[in-house]
Amino acid sequence: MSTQRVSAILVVHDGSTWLPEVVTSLATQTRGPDRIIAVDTGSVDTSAKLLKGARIPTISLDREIGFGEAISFAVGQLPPTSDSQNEWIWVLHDDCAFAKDALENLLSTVSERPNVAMAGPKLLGWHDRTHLLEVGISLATNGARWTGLEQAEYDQGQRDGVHEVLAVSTAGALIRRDVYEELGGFDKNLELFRDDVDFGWRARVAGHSVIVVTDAVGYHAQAAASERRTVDVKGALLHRPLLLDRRNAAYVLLANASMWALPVLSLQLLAGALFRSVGYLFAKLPGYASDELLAILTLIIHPTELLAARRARKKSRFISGAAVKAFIPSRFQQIRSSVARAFDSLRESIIPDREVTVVNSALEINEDEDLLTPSSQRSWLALFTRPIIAMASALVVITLLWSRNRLGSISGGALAMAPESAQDLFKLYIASWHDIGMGSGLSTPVWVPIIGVASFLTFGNVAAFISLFFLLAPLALLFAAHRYLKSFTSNSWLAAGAALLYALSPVAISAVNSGRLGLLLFLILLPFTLPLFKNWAEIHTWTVRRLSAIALLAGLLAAFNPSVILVLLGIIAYSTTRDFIAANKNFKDALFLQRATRYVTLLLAPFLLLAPASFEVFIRPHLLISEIGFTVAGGGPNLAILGNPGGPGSLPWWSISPITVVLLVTYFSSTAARKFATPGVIFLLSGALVSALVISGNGSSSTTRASAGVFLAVATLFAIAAAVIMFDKIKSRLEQSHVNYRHISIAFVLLLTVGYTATSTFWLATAGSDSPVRTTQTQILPAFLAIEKGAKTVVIRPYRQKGEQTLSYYISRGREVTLGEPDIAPRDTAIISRAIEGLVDNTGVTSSNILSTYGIKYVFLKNPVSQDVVQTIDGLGGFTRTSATEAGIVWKVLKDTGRVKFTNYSGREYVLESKGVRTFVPAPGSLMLTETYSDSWQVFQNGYRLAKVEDSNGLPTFGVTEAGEISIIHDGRARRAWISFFIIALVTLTVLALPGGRRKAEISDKEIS
Amino acid sequence: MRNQRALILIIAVTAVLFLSNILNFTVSTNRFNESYPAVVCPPNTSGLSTAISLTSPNTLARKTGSTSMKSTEVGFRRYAVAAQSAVIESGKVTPLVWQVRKGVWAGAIACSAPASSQWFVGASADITAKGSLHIVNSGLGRALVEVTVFTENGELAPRSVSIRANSYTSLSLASLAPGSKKIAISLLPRAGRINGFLIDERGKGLTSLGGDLINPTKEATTKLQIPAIPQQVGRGGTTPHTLRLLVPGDVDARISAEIRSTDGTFAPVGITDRVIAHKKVIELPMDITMAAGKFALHITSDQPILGSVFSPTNAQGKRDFVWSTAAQDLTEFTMATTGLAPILVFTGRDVRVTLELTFTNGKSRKIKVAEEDIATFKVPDSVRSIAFTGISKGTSGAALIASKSGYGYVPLNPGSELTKSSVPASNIRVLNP
Repeated sequence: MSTQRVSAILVVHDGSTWLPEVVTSLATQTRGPDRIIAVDTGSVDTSAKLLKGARIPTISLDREIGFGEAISFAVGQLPPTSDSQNEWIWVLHDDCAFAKDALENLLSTVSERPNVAMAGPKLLGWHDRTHLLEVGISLATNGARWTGLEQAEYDQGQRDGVHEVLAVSTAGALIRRDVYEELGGFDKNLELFRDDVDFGWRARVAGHSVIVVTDAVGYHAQAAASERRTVDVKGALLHRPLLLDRRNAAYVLLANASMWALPVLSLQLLAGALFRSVGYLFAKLPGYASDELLAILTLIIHPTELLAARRARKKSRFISGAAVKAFIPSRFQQIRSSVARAFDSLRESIIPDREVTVVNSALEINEDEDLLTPSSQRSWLALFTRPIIAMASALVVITLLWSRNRLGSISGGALAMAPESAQDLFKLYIASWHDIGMGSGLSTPVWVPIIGVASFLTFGNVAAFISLFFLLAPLALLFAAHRYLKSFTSNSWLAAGAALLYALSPVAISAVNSGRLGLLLFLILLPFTLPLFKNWAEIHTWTVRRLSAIALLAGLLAAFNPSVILVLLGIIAYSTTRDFIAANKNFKDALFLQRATRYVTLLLAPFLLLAPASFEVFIRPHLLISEIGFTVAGGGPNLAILGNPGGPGSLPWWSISPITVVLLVTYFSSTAARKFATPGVIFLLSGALVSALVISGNGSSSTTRASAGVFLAVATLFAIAAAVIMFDKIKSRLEQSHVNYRHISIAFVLLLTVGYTATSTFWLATAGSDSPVRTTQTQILPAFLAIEKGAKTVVIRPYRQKGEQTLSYYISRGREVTLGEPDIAPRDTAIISRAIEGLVDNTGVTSSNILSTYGIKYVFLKNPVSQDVVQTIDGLGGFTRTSATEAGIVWKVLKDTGRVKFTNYSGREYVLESKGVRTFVPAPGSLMLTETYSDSWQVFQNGYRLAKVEDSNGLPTFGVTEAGEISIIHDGRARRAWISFFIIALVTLTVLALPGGRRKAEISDKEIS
Repeated sequence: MRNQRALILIIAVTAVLFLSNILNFTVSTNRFNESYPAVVCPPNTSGLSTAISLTSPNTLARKTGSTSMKSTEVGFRRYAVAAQSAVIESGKVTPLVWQVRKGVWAGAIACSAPASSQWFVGASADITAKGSLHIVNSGLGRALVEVTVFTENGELAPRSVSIRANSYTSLSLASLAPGSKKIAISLLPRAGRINGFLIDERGKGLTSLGGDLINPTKEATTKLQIPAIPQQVGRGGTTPHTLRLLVPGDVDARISAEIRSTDGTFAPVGITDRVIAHKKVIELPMDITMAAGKFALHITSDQPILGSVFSPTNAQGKRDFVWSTAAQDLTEFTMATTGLAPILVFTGRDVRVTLELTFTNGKSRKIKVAEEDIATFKVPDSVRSIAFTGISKGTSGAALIASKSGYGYVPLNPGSELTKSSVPASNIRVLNP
């Protein structure tokens, strides 16, 4: 060891904050360096003065000199040596102090390993000296600096030892002088950052070894990387450290990697940069985002620099580049690390680490306690004594009984069948034309792709997602409500019981049983939404971020429940009126304007987010009280006033929930419960009014009573919250007074609640499971109709309603209707409706011809068939029976028909078969598409667009002037424009709503290390 | 303050409930279409003459066997069909058909709407059989019907018959079940508007043994009412009757019978408590010693059963036979009787029927029939229609018509019932399981 000579080179750049400790640590080393040279790169603080005070010889260089160059300059000043193998350069940063024995341990380790050319200490945080920063470093293939450590890993010696690594940080790196000179020192193109990895990489391929010696410890402030000082090096464009770091990372990878890996690496670097820049944009850090892209750009515009670097490295490469491969983290390691970090963050946000109890006094310590004995003897069964667990267990049992007919792929009620995969939902959303009925150009609502994205949870299996959602919804309701209600009471049994009541409320039961997907989601999100409106009166103080977040949430809820916009409109109208009066009817009042702006934003944002479908409410205002999916009737106002939306699958009238009574009782309460009761009553009464209205739409020509699910859901939660407040500490309050109306009303509410719980549970376990939503395997159409892809079939189906058989029909395209399609289903065509009526009432002598005109090939009467109808169709003519099976009876329309019909000039009609969008026209004439007319239908022949008219039947007809191939397309540009608009609106709102990221300069020292 | 809040709440709740309940928000109810389907009458074949009694010369009708689907006014109240089958839009009136092979036999039947199932209990397919089964397809599409013949030996294999649009086909009984003396036929339309008409015509060499139109029954029931069986007393005593029964199910039936007549109610010998083998056509002789007149037969069974009574007749010196078939409980309807003067026979525990007779001169008269067990009423010649109203529960009826050519029997069942069909409404829900 005695033969080893160490020259310490301390590079200083505005490091006065850390320099005193660094110098002290150098001075107190058990084996100090033989020579110390400081290189001051133009410090403007007191660094130079401090160095002078410490009597360290200092070389002053230009402020723009890079780190490598500074070291190189200092090495040049060192006297020449004959035993360069024992001559070491100890590279020091001005922000890195060392333990006393750091150098001694480094030297003793390298002395036993003659092949080591570079050795580094274990680096810990400057402020938190248990925070492990580095035990050697590497470079991930995406350019990220790879330490292989967990986030903020606590140093317990778990990484201790001497390890072979790709490189060590230059902070405290001990480099053999001959190797340093042999490799030409640090790359001059890497003024700062990544020069260490690059050097280690070059040393490795030159056949040397690089190790980390954890017995040697350094404390690194990482001042440049954490933006504690400005980066002034020449290559640091705009003095941006991130830019320099990214650029250098890419440079190191591209300069050192093998030629074959370059294309993939380049793509990875580019993709990584794009991905990260998007992330930074979402975190509202556009500077960092631009750094990512500029870093790649600055590298691309100087390819000669890279080529020169590769040539230089080739000269000193003595072993295969594969030697380095072991130190480059695999993709799996990178993914595992990212996932682990994501889970840690998630866990931290959901279950924050328990605060350590601070023992303030020795008296609090139980010295008799055996630390090896577990502190608790409770068995796991004791878990069930926790109220929420007990309620959840009870609910699981009830739900299993209730859902016994809903295990598997479900549909029914308002819920259409799930498509095969999420991809189908995205296709439906993107498509400008939908093969539903006679064809529809309506815009698919936004909730469809949202379900598509959500179904990624079940690997794109939408049916599984929907089934799970309906199965787990009661539990989700329980936990969501519990989270909200527990803030009103310290009695956990009360909160859990109330949450159970919410999960089994009439509106929740109705939502599950009748397949109201939107309402169910609303019920789950409502307990999270209500607290956001807590200080509604102070809306003028809301930040843009909060406003955007609420607008985004409102948009999400409105996408699934259009009535949310109506609710919002009502609240805002009331608030604006109140504000106007408060502002002495002065609409120019600053506060009034401030608040009004926010109201408008809150209302407009969801509206724009849901465009263009949301604009339809101006033409058809009743859409504001409609629901997604199939239209399902509500139960009318008299049920609604009891908090029960009614309709198929709803609780029977005799299972009366305590919601109304609770609201009425708490309305007169003198406690805080009244604050909830008043809006609760308003929502309940609004719900009753809405229930009296009628709606139509979603592919149905008949009108049905509206369901006021959203209004009743809000009323329900308000009622339950009011009840929790009322019952909180009720015992002690009642004990303090004589029997009065309070005792009676509370007894009544309790009695009603018990009665409701018993009756509703009984109903759910028995008749309630026989709900409209159930597992479905059956197909509507006979299999042979599905084979003829796209063939239109009129499906007539009998239903029993109030003891009478009624008939409904729709035009199928050889398949069942799936999720999202009812919302864009076209209305009936009058002439087709009359033709179908004629099939039933025996007047349809021309029905066959009309159906043929519209390209309808089959009529399918689904079982149980009415013999009268069968005889009528049999007797009408123009139809021939093709099958009569258990599924029903199929007639074929005798006249040949199809999607594309062509009539030549002599009046002869042909049905053209098309392959995709192309077909062949045999002669000049007119071509008719048996789809509803839309301006976007276009036919191209030889690059020219054919003239189009809407014929008397409302079908698009095109004039063909010559025989030949044609292309039939539906122009989707408008649809794509709306989708782009949606994405822009969504991203804007999301970016505004997300918490802003912090620049490193804004992060506290404590958090960094 | 508290009172004010209470007042506000009461007013708000009352107003909401009042408004939401009394405001007439129209929930669209399902639309229904009510109509009387056109009725189909038996085809007129060679040697026969067919006259259809109608109430108005303006009645619209068309014939099968043509491509024209247009219905035209018949122009008469008694419509003579020369060939083919008539499809008559007679509304709520049931036209009666009187079919005659002049001087040989006569039979009556009501024109009826296409049925989903028809049973004929009667006729013979033995060596004397000259009868045939006519199947009419009044629809514009090809029809398919399954014909199953039951004989004294059991059920024969079903036979599918395809009939062209708007036409009829005739099947000889002898070819349907060669050699069978006792037959019953089931018609089950698989597709199309189908009506079956069965003519039982018998002869021995050149000697005619008479003939009749056998009225169909829709379905087998456990309660069988044959309201009018003509009892004639000749020089050789009373004419014997034969009860033909078929149990179409898979289990034998135990029956009991009761005869109701003006002479009283009694159980016929040898019928009550008889076990009738299933799927076999069984004949039981009924020698009823009773004064001339009409009587009704009520049969109850523990299994659905079909039946009819064969009675030799002598009308105006002409020997014939008549098949009295089961009648369903009488419902309100109108029957056209122009040119016919039937004897109406009603039976039941407590018979009460109001008959509204409309005469050819346009006048009408109401007659109330009230009797126990059985009641008869002779319709005057000049009556063109009879409306049956005010009918007591459990009453059924039949009409007996006598002419020079023979005797006819028609159960009083409406030929065309008001059909209520839902007008289909467009609803995409039909495409969801």
